[in-house]
Amino acid sequence: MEILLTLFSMPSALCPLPTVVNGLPELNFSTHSVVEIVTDVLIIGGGGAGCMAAIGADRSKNVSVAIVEKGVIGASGCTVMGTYSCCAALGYADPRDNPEVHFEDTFVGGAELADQALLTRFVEDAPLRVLELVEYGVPFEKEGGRLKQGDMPGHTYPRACFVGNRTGQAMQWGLRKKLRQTPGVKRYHDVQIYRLLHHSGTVYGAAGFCRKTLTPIRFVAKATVIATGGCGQLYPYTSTSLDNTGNGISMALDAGAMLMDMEFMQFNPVCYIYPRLIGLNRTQTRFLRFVPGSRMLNRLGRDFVADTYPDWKHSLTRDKLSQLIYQEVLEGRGSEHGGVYIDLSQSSEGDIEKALSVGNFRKKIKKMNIDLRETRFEVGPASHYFMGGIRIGVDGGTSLPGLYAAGEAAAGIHGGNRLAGNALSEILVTGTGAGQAAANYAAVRTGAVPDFSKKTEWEDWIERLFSREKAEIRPVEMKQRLQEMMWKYAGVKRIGTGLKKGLAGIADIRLSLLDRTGISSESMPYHMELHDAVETRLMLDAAEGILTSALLRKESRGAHFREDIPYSDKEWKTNLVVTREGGSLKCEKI
Amino acid sequence: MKKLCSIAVYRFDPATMEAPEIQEYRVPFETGFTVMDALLYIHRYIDGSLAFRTSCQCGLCLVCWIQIDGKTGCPCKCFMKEQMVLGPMPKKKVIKDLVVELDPGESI
Repeated sequence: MEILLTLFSMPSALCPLPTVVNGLPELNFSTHSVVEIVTDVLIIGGGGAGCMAAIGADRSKNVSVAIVEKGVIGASGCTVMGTYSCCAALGYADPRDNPEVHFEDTFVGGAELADQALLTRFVEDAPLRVLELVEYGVPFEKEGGRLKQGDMPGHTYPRACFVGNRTGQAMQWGLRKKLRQTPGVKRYHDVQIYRLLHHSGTVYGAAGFCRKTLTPIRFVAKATVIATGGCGQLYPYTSTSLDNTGNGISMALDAGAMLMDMEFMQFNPVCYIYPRLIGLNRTQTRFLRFVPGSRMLNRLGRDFVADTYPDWKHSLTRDKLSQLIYQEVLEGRGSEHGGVYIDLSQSSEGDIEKALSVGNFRKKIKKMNIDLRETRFEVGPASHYFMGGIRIGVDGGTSLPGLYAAGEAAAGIHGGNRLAGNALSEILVTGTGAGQAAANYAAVRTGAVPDFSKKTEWEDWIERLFSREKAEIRPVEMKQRLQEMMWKYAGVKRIGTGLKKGLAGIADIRLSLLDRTGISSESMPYHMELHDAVETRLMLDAAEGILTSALLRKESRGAHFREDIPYSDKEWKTNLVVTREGGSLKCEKI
Repeated sequence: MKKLCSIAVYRFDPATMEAPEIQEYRVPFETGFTVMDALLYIHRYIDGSLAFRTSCQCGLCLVCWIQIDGKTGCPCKCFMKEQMVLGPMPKKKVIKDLVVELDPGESI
């Protein structure tokens, strides 16, 4: 063991022993041990939308701002994973482009379900926010002194601003740097928030704990912004980061806020499952289908997509291709790791080179010594972006006073489906909007704060988790069971009877998680099992919202496909909203 | 049956341990999977108490950096090997096991 330890340059002075008071540290929610932090504006979530909200709120010089993140602010989350496009109608590449055309493209792409007021603000503000990022030092590529703008599917004119093939990462790093230079914003890393503080329909902050010390924390805030991202992790196959668990959406629902468009989860059809492609996010294999000669094979070696759609490579939409692959795997003809094979053995080197000339895919693949003509990638649909979430107004305000939402956690801009390139610009617009509105609200809000020192059922449950140390069920098993169930019943294809089974499954998992799951009380700091338990409990609410909405929407539209009702119906050309009423969810047309 | 790989992982909980220890895990070996996949396998199926950072799983967020066989690296960017030794980033305060303080921010 000693020999192994010498492998690490680990001077003991850098591993200081903390002072242990009264024996082992423990998670104790009795009143005296809770740290209370008072702030005017609280931002939950440290990705792109959260950083923009914090910077936006800080512009009101008289308010204090705190940003809290369960991982690392400016690094965790999905923003860093954005590859190429951040769309804004700057009109540099084509002077005919303007916000109105961007509006039309997005509205049509979203199955005409987008909130028109929100969308108007998005298309008008996106150019301003992109230029703001240029000021922060984000190195968007330029030509003749102006930003380059590339073409994206669904967009009439070229309007994608980009930083090579690492646009999201460059944007996030720029925002992180800007945030560090903004002393008015207090940054709290590694803090898991699990519920909002609310009283009589008004929100007063949030409760959580520090993952590093397990200290319970109560943030008392005049205005709270949820920027916690979407919930792609509700599915076992996903292109999203492990943080994308929809916690904020669930907390808002629990506090009484209205959710919208919960049935719309976008799946990207050709995401790699095996082997891992180092430094490339899962969606990057999407270009392989456009290589001349590429085939999509099932376990039996049949080119099953071409059997149904001979010209599938270019004509087949993402939705239809996702459905075909999903069905193939569901019926037992999938690959070893749960996808299908994409095969380039019949393509020429020249064709591969030509089709994959854009971006860094070819370079990275070469670095891994992968021969594209010899390797059969296992690919399949993966949850990619959540169009639903918390219902917001133009300023980011939710149905609850004191609560705002931004980014993927908020619904309305994209409607029933999202155009490529609109996510990275949307987080900028809604983040800034929600941050500024929250600061304005906080500046004028008066009145006493109710007493939140009393423990709730949440804290009792967390304490119970530790007392059931020997329980057979571990939280991570519950999380996996939920993901598998969501894939089966609320995945790419849905059916009424399946969605009902899904809802019954949620109830089962909830019961197991609340009453039979336990976690180890050893090794308390950075307790990953506790983290799993809290995330899974929150994920159940978002999952229930998806199942409930998908069951009510008796048609297929946008990213929502009902196998039992595979057509659109004008009766349903409206948004569905979800609220919690007692123990169950209420879903209705807007 | 799949081959197993042997992963020696640095374990340290400053609250309860005086010195770091090495714990060995056996994980099914598969070419094409990464060191992060091995860590997630341990977390899911063997030992929930092992602490490590993770987020994007594709080498973009950089929160998960550790030492792999004595060299700092991103576990999402290194393929699994049949024998590996994993430790925390050097010159950083260890919070637990492979988790180090990256950006202190406000203290609580």
